[in-house]
Amino acid sequence: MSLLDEMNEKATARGVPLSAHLDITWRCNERCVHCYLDHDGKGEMTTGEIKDVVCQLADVGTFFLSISGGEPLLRRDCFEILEYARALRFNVKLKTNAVMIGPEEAVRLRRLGIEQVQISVYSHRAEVHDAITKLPGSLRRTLEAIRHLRTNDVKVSITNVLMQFNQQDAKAVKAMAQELGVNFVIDPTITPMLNGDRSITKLGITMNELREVMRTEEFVGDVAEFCSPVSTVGDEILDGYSCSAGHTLAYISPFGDVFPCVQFPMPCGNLRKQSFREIWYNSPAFIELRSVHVRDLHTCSQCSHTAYCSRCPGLAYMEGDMRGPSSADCQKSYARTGIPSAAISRAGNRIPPLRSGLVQISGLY
Amino acid sequence: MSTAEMYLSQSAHIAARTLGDDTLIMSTLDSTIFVLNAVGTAIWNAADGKTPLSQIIHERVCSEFEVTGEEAYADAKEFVGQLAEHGILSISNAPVSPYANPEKAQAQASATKPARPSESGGIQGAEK
Repeated sequence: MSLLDEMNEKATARGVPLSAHLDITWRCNERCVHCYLDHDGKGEMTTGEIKDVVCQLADVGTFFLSISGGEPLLRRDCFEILEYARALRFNVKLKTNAVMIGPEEAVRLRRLGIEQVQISVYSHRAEVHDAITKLPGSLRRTLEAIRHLRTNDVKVSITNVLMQFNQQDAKAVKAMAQELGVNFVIDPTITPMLNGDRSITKLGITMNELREVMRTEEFVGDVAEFCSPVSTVGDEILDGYSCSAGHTLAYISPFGDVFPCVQFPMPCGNLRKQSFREIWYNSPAFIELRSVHVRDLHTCSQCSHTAYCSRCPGLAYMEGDMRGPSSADCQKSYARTGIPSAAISRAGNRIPPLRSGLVQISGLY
Repeated sequence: MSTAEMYLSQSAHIAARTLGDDTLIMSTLDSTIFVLNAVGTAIWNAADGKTPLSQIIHERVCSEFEVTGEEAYADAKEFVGQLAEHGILSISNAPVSPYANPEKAQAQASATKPARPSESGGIQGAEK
């Protein structure tokens, strides 16, 4: 077990939110077709409120802090918040589209000791990337920013969200990431909007495309190992939890709302009314979430995929039942192994399509 | 005990948090992770650049843990040397201005659990 795993175990046992994801704004200078947020900035926390939240997180033991948005650099106080978080000794990651990062910002991020800058890149082709972000010139500006960051030895990770429009470019994006000296992560999940609207999930790749991705060595390493089914489910798994959301991870919106995760919009409290400590330890929603072990999941506890499934309780919650299966993860397990999940079997082996129709995006060129 | 005093300062290039008896530290330069045990945490939290190591040992280690001064000092020198090698803290022979640390109450010694001398090395583990 790695040191981080050990600390995670200790944090889980002590109920410490070791990680927090803080969106400081939902405003954005891009309008990505698959974005799960609206971009209203009304009612955002002030600089003072955000610093107070960050201080509260330090007090309860949070170590990993992701500052995100929207586009966090749209806030004039973004660097002030980053500086404050670093002074409180957080391990800080910044999620940004990077179009506002020039040479000076890259130097500041280096000096601050930001652990990693995480940036979404959808394609190596501007006509594809910019059509997804709806911001002309965005790929060029993002790539320039990555070069500034790398010149300053700032660690960068590129996330490549796969959609029907760009999935054929994933290998080229990975090659570009290698050339730039940055990490590459592939993400086939389109998150429904936080208001429950699932229409954007139609932008996702098809089951056949997902199956292809999961059999591509560049993305998964040893294909045989990655795709081999594991059916042993012991007490250790059944007594555990699906993921860290609400156990060692919390999400905070720009308006002070607290949720288990950005992908788990179950309201747990608001920081303008209660302290973080009070919400984290006493919110009925968090307490209920923490009471749910894998063995309590009515369908997934019986599923042969349980031991290695990436089941997201937030996606299940958005489907109406946090104790139920998450369709997207059932589909991933099926695409990976060819074995239907318990939920798919119960539905008569009918595999719901990952996207139910074509969605047009307008090209910029 | 060595005659030359040692003053310890925490580096600015780290992320750190104390959870119970343990302290999790990550270097922002190379992402190396360290986990300090209770004794290491007591020394770490007292590394303010102006308190000599001998005083830290006397006030934070010997008074809290079942260990003699000489044993603790020898172990602590090795421990701080290892951290200094990784740039996690710096050692000087005169007091220095401490790195500004607004972290509330975290600097207070968190050790309450007695440790045997063999446990007093400080670093529980380190990995990249």
